[in-house]
Amino acid sequence: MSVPVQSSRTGRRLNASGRARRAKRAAARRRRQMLLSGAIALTAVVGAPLSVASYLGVESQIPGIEAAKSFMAMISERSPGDRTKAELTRTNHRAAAAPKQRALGKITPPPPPKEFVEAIAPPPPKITEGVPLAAAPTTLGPLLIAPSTPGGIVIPPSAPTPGGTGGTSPPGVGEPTSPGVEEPTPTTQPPPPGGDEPPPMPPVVPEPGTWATMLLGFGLTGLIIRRRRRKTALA
Amino acid sequence: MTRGIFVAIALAALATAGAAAWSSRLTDRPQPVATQLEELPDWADKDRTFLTKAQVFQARAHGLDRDVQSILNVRKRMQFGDFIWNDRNVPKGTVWVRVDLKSQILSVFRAGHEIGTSVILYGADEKETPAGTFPVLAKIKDHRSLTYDNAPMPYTLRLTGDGVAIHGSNVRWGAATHGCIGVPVEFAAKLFDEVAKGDQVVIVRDRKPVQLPS
Repeated sequence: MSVPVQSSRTGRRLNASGRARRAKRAAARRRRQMLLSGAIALTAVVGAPLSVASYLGVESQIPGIEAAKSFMAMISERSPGDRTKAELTRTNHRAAAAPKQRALGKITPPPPPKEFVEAIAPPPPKITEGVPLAAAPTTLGPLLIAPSTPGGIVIPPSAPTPGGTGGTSPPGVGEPTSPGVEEPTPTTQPPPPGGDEPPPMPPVVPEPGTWATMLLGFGLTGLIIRRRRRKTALA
Repeated sequence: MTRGIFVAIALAALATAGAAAWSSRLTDRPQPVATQLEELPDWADKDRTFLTKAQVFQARAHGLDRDVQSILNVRKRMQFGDFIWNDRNVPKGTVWVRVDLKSQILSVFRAGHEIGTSVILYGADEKETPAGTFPVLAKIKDHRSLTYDNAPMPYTLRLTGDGVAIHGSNVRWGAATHGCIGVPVEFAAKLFDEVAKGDQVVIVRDRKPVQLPS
């Protein structure tokens, strides 16, 4: 015996024929739903490109239709555009003026920084006592023309003022304190033992004696290094 | 319940599709407008566009004071120094010149057909080119300026008593004249041969539409 099923919707008890009707109704509903969803899908498929086209403002092209342009539009299409710059054409072509000659201004190198000058050439010491200047030329004259030590190795004076080597320092820097100028006047500084003569320029090419000393020194160094290495190798 | 939602979605989709179809004018398109005259003269070619009556009417509404039948096809923007001259098969007739200062374009018409066009130079702001209709007063082939230090002005077509003229000059970007209209020298030579004394030159300053006489 079949148990009567209570309908969920109406609360009525259903018998067998009622169940069959209900199944038919459900099948019909399913069919309707299928049809509806099919229609929705179709509408979406057809509508999507159209709506995209309309939102993008793209019109599907139909050949043969072209909006007629106006005469003014056609003229302005060939135009290079509105004028943005209008420089007057120069008509009066005068002869070009001859170039004026102009002397360049005197170029004076800027003074070197104070610290730099003081580091190279310390300020000259103050003269303590007045010495008759008339005596200076008499002592200076023969000394200046006195020939330097002939040949041999040049020995610079033992205590030359820094920067007093003359040729190597820039001309403007050491000039006011150059020993050649200062030395005739007796100062507190002890006079160099080599005499009052200015230190001669060191020659560009080293003297043979210098060469010999250098070679000897290098040779000695090499010899010492060699001996040391041999000793360590033996040990 | 679910059926109601489906129906609502379907209706919305239909409405969207309908609106899209309507706004993209797929459903209701205007009738195509002919870009050219129905019957063209047998000498018509692809270098020339013939205007329809509607176009002529529109041009007149924008200030063109005489009929134009055809204009030259210019396929790209013209540059300074460019010009086009094409009077092949164009019948004889009245010659007039239209100068558009704003577009910097000069057009020569013969019997209503454009036969030449060129980029121009015109007067600087402090030496403005006058607008209006001027008949050519004089033609001087090798003219030299009296006012501007003997400046060469080949193929001068004098327009006004105070010296405004169309003449050949070096048409380049950024330049302006003292009131004259400068055209490329080669174009000026052709124009000089085409234009006779008394032919009219229309100088247009602005493209503002004018009120048609009622």
